[in-house]
Formats: sequence, C-alpha cells, structure tokens
Amino acid sequence: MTPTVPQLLEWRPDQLDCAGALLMVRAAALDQAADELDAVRTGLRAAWSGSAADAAAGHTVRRQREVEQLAGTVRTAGRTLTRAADTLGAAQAALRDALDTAAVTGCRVLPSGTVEAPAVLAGAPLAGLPGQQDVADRLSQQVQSALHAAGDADAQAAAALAQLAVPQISPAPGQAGAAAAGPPPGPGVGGRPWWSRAGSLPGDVASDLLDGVTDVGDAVLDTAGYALTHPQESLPLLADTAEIALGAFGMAVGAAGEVGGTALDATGVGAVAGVPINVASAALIVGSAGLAAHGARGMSQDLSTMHMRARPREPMTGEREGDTAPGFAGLEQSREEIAQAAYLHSGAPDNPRRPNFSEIMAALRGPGRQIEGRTAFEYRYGDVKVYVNGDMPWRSTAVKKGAMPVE
Amino acid sequence: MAGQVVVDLGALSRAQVRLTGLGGDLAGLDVRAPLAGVAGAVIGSAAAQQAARLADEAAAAARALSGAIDAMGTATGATAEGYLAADRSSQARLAGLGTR
Repeated sequence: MTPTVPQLLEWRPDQLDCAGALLMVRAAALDQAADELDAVRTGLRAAWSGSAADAAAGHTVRRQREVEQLAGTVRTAGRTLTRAADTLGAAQAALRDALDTAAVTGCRVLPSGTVEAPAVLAGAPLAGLPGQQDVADRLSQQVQSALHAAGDADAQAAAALAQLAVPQISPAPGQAGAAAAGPPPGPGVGGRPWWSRAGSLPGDVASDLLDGVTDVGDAVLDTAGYALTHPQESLPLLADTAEIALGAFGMAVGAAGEVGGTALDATGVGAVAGVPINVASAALIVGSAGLAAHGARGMSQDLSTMHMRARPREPMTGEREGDTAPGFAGLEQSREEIAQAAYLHSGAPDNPRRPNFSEIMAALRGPGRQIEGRTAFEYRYGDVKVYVNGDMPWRSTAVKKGAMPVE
Repeated sequence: MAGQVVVDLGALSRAQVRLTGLGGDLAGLDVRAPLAGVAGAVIGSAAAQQAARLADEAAAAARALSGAIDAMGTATGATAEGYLAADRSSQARLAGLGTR
C-alpha cells in the first residue's frame, strides 16, 4: 500500500530496525539451541547403542533440523525488517525535507501528497503566478516520490515475509493442545500509569523537572566544552550554519525575483521576460528553502553527535572486542544488541516513563555492577536502570524511576 | 530378539538435564514480540499484516519445539530409569535362583 503523508510520518523505522535486530538475536539463540541438540546427540551416540539409541538419535536430528529451519526463518524476517527500515527511513527523511520546504514557502501539503500553492495569495494580485505553481508542483513530485518509495518498501517487505515458511512441528505426546493455546501474553505496560500515582505526583514532577533542567544544563556545558577542545569536529556544525545562511540569502534573492518578475508581468509586454524570471525565482526559493531546512536538521544532528561524544566513554561491556567487564567476557551480543533487547522489554511504546534507546545505551557505557547472588548486571544512567541478563542477554530489560520492569 | 545394547546411564542422565534445560530455554525465547511489534511500528502497512501472521506461526513453532525437546529429555530420563529397573529386576531374578 502507498501510505498517505500522515501515515508515513507516523511510521517508526527505528522501531522496525530494533525489531529486526532483535530477531537476529533470537535467530542466534536458536542456532545455539540447534548446536546444543547436536552436542547432546553426539554425546549419546558415544555412550548409548541399540535400537532405542538409534531412535533417539533420529529424533534428535529431526528436532535439530526444525530448530535450524526456524532460526533461518527468524533471521530472514529480521533482515527483511532491517532493510525495510532503511528504505522507510530514507523515504521519511525525504518527506520531511519536502514538508520543511513547503512550510518555508507557504505551500500546503494534502494527506494524499498533493501540494497546493500558498492559499493566502488566492484572489490577490499575485495569485496564480507561474512561479508559485511551479514551486508547488516540484514539492508535489518530491512528496509523491517519498510516498511511493515507502509503499514499494512496504510491499517488498510484505512479499518477503509472506514467502517465509515456519516448520510444522509435530507436538510431543501430551502436548497436542499446546500449539492451539494461542500466543503467550505480550509484555504489559511497565509500572502504573502516572495518573494513578496522583498522590505522589507533585513531588515527582518537581523532582523530574529539576532533574531535567540539570540534565539540559550539563548537556550544554558538556557539548560546549567538547566543541572548544575539538575544533575539527565543529566543522560540520559551521558548514550547516553556512547552509542555513546561504539558504536564507537564496530565498531572499528568489523573493526579490518574484516581485520583479511580477512587476514585469503587470506591464503586459514585459511578461515575456517576467514569466521566466518568476519560474527561475520559484526554483531558487525551493532550492534555498531546502538548503536551509537541511542545514537546520544537520545542525541538530551535529549538536546531538557532539553531545554524545562529549560524554565520558567508559570501557564497554557486552562488546565483542576489549570486553573485560566481569561476567561478560565471551558474550556474543554487542552492547547495541543488548540495548535493543532491553529497549524492547522496557514497556509499552506509549508508556511515558519508558526509557529511550539513547538512555539505555548511555547506561550500558557505565561500569555496571553484578547483582549479588545473580548472574544479572545492573547499569545506571540518571534514573534509568538497565538489567542485563548474563545467561540470556536477549531477555535484558530497562526501567526508569517509578516504572516496573517488564519481561 | 537379536541386538546389543551398550549404555552409560550417567550419560543418559546428563542428556536429560541438557534437553530439559534446552526445552526451558526455548520456552523463554520470545520470537513473537519483535514480529508483533511491527504492527505498531508501521501501522496499517501490508508488512505489518504479514509480520503478525508470522509472529503467531513462529511462536507456535517455538512453543511446540520447546515441548518436544522437553519431552525428549523426559523420555531420556525415563529410559535411564527403565534400564536401571531392568537391571534391578534381573538382579532379583538371579537372586531368586540362588546364584548370588
């Protein structure tokens, strides 16, 4: 299906990417299960012979194949979702670019993707200028192109998922009804909703506001300090600033061209020169608005990146290389994979107290500590706690102050 | 009935533990949640519909495999018990014949 503008804006490629990565982790766990079955079969073969042993070995091989097949299906699904997330993310970015430009030029974007020239000029002396309609047409093409790219990505992902076959497992004796019992209950909402804690709300809110202001202040100071000590990494920020300035200048020149072209159009004879000037000016406005919007977005990303880099970076845990943290040596999952697993188990998407992915990653950069008597490790970042399951990292979870962990 | 049976009962017990543990691990492996989450990520999309279908099928398969492997562990343990019971029975029979 080809999405509408609101639909594409609502889609979450980052969540799709997270689901894809988590499926890859699940596939790896299934691979391990298949290896374990092979190891059990080999061990039994060395210690047990006879017709019963032959039957047991055959049974084990069959289950091993089924587990391998399920792992393959899950892995392919994960790759499919990750690919779709990339394409949808690019389409969404292109759509946002066009919407930014439309906002700057006063064009109106309809849900279908059609773009209308500025309505404020309808009926006015400048209404119906060829340049303005040209701006709207160009933006309409950009929006339609983004919507179609998203629709194609959705169709391709759906087709790929439709082709995936799940092995038909014959249930073990006494297990016949198990498969029809329905899916297990999904993860619930972590903790009570905030409105059910109205009794303690004022104190919480004040504390959260204070924490938030402190965090923002720290972030600004961290980022500014980093920019001063790493001037070479401030270059993208300067470049984006220049883009904004250049875009604003281009829009001003384009607007002047529109006015001049319109004045020529009004003379009648001068329309021969005025119309091309209108068209060229409109193109300049669109291009300049896009440039300015791109610069603004780039500036936001630059600041975000610099802030992330400004944070002190501790030795990583759960990372494939250089992993020396106690209890995590040899862990196959990367820190990012563990963060994705924890994020997915951190509560419902609409839970206002659900930690975000960046907070979980920030927590996992910390030193962490092993929970006494358990194989789990706890990492903290502000009021976010991440619990990494040492035995089953894909079941790790994260909580924010006041919320309950969800598995 | 011809044939030869050689068995290390300790190996059977160890296999039972590993198989039962593996069945439990698979029972805890949630393959459904990531696929079911697609519906919320790309609302109303065709991919979400297919992912939902796959989520149910994959979860059912994982659940069936978990049960089947757990049952293999139980059967392996029962086999070891059976061999031990046969051994005890033989000992009793031979004792009854006065050969001990």
